[in-house]
Amino acid sequence: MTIAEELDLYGDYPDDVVVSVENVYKIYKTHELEVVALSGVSLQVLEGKIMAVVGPSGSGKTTLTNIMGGITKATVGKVYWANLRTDITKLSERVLTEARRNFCGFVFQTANLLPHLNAWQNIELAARIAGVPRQVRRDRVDRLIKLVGLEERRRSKAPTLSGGERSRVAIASALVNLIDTEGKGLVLCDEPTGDLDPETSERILDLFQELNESLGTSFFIVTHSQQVASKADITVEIRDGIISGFHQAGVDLDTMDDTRIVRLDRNYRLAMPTDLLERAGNPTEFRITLENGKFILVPQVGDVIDTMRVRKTRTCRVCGHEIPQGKFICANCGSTV
Amino acid sequence: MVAKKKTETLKGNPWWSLSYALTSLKNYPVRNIGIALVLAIGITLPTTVFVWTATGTELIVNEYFQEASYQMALNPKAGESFESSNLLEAQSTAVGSDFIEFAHRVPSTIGILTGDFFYGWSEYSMLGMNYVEGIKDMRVIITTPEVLANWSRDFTWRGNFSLSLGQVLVSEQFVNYANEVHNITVDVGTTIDMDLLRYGARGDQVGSPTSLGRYPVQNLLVVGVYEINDLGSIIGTSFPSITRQNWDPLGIERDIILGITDSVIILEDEVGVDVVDEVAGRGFFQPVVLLRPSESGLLQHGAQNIGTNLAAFKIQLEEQYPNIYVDGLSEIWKLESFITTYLQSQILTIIAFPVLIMSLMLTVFTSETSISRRKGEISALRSKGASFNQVFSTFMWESMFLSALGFILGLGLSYIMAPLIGASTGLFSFDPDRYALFMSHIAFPPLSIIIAGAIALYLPASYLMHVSRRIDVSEVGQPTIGGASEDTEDVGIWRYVIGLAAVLFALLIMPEIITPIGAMAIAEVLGASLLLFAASYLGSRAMRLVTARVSGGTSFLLGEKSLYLSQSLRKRKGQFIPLLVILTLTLTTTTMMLIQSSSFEATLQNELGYSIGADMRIESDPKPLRFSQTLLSYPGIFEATPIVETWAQVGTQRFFLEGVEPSAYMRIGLFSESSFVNNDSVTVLTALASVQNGIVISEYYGTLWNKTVGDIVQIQYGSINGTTYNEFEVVGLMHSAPGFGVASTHDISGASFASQFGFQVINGFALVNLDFLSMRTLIDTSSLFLVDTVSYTDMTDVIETIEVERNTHVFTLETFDVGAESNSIQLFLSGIQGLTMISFILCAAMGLISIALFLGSAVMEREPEYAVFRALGGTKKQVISMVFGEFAGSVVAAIAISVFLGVVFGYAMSILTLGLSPFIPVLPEVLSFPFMMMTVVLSLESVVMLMSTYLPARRAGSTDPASVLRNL
Repeated sequence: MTIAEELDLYGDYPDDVVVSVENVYKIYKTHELEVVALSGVSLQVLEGKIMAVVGPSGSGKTTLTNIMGGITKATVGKVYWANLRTDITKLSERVLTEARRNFCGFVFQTANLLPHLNAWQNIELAARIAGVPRQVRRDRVDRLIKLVGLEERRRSKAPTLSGGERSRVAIASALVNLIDTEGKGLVLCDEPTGDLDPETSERILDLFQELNESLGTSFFIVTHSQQVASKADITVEIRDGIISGFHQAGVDLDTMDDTRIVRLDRNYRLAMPTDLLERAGNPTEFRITLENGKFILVPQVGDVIDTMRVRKTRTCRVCGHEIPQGKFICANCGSTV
Repeated sequence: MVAKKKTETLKGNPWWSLSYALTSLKNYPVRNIGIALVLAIGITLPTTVFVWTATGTELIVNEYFQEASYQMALNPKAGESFESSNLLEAQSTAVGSDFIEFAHRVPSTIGILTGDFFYGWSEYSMLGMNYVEGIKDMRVIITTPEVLANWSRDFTWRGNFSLSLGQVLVSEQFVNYANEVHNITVDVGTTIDMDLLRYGARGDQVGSPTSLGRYPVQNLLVVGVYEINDLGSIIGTSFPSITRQNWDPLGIERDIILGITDSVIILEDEVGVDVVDEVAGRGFFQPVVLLRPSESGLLQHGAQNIGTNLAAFKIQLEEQYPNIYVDGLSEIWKLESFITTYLQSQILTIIAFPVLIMSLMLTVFTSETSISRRKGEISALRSKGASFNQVFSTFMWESMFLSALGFILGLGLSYIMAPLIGASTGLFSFDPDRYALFMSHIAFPPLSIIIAGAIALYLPASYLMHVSRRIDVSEVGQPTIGGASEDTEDVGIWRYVIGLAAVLFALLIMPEIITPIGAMAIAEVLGASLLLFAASYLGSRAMRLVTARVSGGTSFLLGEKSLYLSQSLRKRKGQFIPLLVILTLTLTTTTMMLIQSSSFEATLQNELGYSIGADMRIESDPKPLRFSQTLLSYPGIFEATPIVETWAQVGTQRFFLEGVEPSAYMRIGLFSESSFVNNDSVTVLTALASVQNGIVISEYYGTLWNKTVGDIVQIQYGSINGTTYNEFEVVGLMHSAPGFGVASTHDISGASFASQFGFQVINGFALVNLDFLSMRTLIDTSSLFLVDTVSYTDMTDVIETIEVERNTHVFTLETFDVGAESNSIQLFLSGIQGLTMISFILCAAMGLISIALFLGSAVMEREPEYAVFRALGGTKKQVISMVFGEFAGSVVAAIAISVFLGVVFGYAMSILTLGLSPFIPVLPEVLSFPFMMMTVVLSLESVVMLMSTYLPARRAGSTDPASVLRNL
């Protein structure tokens, strides 16, 4: 029983929001060094949608996933979970673990299967841990194993499975507690196809879509892969811990659209996509104009300061020679300004 | 705002952790059994010592109680009657005590054998010449079936040893006498009649049938003929015999009669309660109450207190009933000294301390590495929704199971090992019969169980400390298989060598600075154990670098392998250092204990030789001094000298004067350099020979009396005519002398070995000239002769011949039976030897287990490496030889360093162990290095270890590159 249940402080969120991240900062402190992994990230995962996150290594993708899954605590900011209808950053480890069991599933690049268990047992494990009754558990695992197409391999120990099969087991395992929850569930995937060949990846992605359609589970996928991003309903671009843009379905990572959606953060700041900036010659200043309801952003080629500096160049009142900025004695006649 | 429906959270399955722990245990059998076994080894050692001492104690207590039916008897004092002594009340008091199991009152009187052959008697006197008059009298013991059943262990018999109505048991001697007197044969199956005399009379008093209360008992069927086993037992002494002339008043022959040997036994029911009461109250003999102490009742109050408790009980009873005399307990002190030695031997546990620590260290290390190896697994479980507590309890359950398994295995090992100490007859030899006897009586004292439990709990406790930390740092999403590899270590060898040198220096200097005696010895043994660990660690680090260097420098031999080997040996300190340390520790401990126990035995032998004093020592009833000349006639005897002894006193100090023939004693005595102060034996004894009233006194008295060489001492001493007084001139000072032990027992703070052998002169002694002493005291006999024999001659026949004479005992170093003469020393010795044997077994086991654990996991971890080798074109054979070379190199390094460390630690520990023993040597300790035994034992252990490294190497060779590299 939390106070939130009685007051429902989070009732403002639309019903289809599964997880919402608001203005989240994450700062890692190692020794005396502080590393800002996330800096004011806000996003929402919607029910039944696949969201992909792309970005270079070290941009904070995995941190974001862990914060959403409640494994890592955000330094600042709120993480809302639909099942709890509350901000989870204030909750204890125990409550969080219990709440996560039938709300979040994880799929990692290294499939995270236990080598001494077979496929069936690996899938079942999460349900056993959660204390799901045996009959229900069996029923679910049977359904899932059929769903991911591994009925033949159910008795095989994890190390004997192929890469694709392992991924399937991992996905099924992530879903085992979500499958029957009539509400929102979220599968967080960290590079799920990272070490798979394109063909297998394709099949895994099809599986994601299939499951997404048939079960209505939301997927949040961290990826480097074009393939993955193209299957997502929405793709989030993240750079240096800041969301630099959103893309609609069918994004092409190589020739990422010249246009994208950027979102104001809580401090009314707008992050500029760096690839676009590069193409524009890394401008640092823009002229912004509002015209007919459209914002027009024009990069300034010459620095504003440069013009200011130009203006500061003086002419010697004695000989008319130009005195450079910062000099106060005419180089020609020697008179003081 | 309207509250929206909230989803239920899953609370989790509280029993999941248990079931997961069980699967996990099942899935890593080798590792888990390894951990449990190593823990078990740690549990075994201390437990074994306690089980051994408890079992030994129980055995001797048991033997004591098994030997006889009764250990005590209550008798009315002389002049007191059954009534006046209050015997009945004393009996019930005794029965009421915790220490007494039961008490049997047995009345007895005299009976006269009657029958057709005998025409009756009209008067009888106990001391009369009865046999010649045709009266066969005997003691009639009146008893019950219950009592009789209890007597059986004191008797041997023909026929039965039980009675029912109309039956009688007769003694062998009674049968003989009956035959002599009446010329009849009494045996099983015949019937006899008798007149029971209800009323007693004084020995020489003559009584009539009426006055003696004749009560005929007839037609008794003899069902058994018995003989008592030990006349000195309580039953034997409770029915004493008298001697009497039976046939010839002028002859000298007296028969032994009317005791238990000349008796018959009938049931109380045969004569009825009234008659029994009359016999008890007025019969010829006072009834006796036989007591059997309660073994369990006594053990409850502590085995070590049995003697004290029974003695206290005896005194208490005698005080409460002043007219009663309590007989028995003559053997109880022997029992108690046995028990005390067993208890003292428990201190030996600390000799095995290094093995205990080693096993605990290894347990923790293995379990900790196994947890850190399972980081991936933890992270997987966490990602699947397992809470911190669930994962934590999984590991705790595992540790509990392992700990329980270790506990059971440990007790099981103790069950096998403890009898080994009890049955040990020397290094690596034991007596199978005694082993079986010990095993059948094995007792686990509560203390041993508590210690075992405490050690077993060490594993969960260490898990408790480490696991939580490990779980916490495990991040979700780590790979479940494989681990990080280590970097090559690049450090110099010198720091280890210098460290090792410092440790060894500390070890050797320690006993020099503080003399290891008693509690200090315990502390120093513990300190040395710690140093052993430090030395093993430093030594193996240094050795590893040496092997790396050596294998790096042998590329001409090993080819390309050497590069891999030397790098690999420098690398992976995480696995190889602990393994090397463990192997070094096990081998060092084995070597050390071999040296320790052989040194103890050598010291013992040395002390024994010195205590005996000469090649042969003859103790006898006083013999004329010239008996030493007689001895020369025996073959092999080269020289002999008598010793004259008398008591002496200076002030309040009492000691003995030992009169010796200095020149003979000088040649015969087995002197040590430390016998005399600042001088050798020749100088001192020559000086004694040259001064007629010379004396060699102990250094202790020299200091006490402030006398030194040349001074005069006035001594009172005993002579044939009473106390004499004389002045003696001090010609030398001594510490000890061969044959007499330590010169002043004040010099040592405990029991000397010599005193354990029985050769120590009580209080101390001084050496004087035999001629002078004999002349002054008029003593011309000697009870002690020291004999020099021709070397390497078999003296067995001579010894037998000399010993034929009554009360003559010959002692030589070869024939002296330590076990028979001193149980305490024997117990301590067999304790050390047994422990050495057990430690060897356990160390070897631990070495093998750690090879299996460490190298097994090393191979598993490095599968990718081997796979790459195979993929690069290495053959299976090449991989095997490469890996075997690497592993074997480590083992060889361990062996090399441990032989060195073992010898150094063996030397130091031997000195410390002697400090632990309750006996103090008179001479300096003798260190013995059993090179033959060490070579055999170590090479055996090494060969097994080397062979066992081949198994993991073969597994490395069978790495399938295809599957391993795919799963990378």
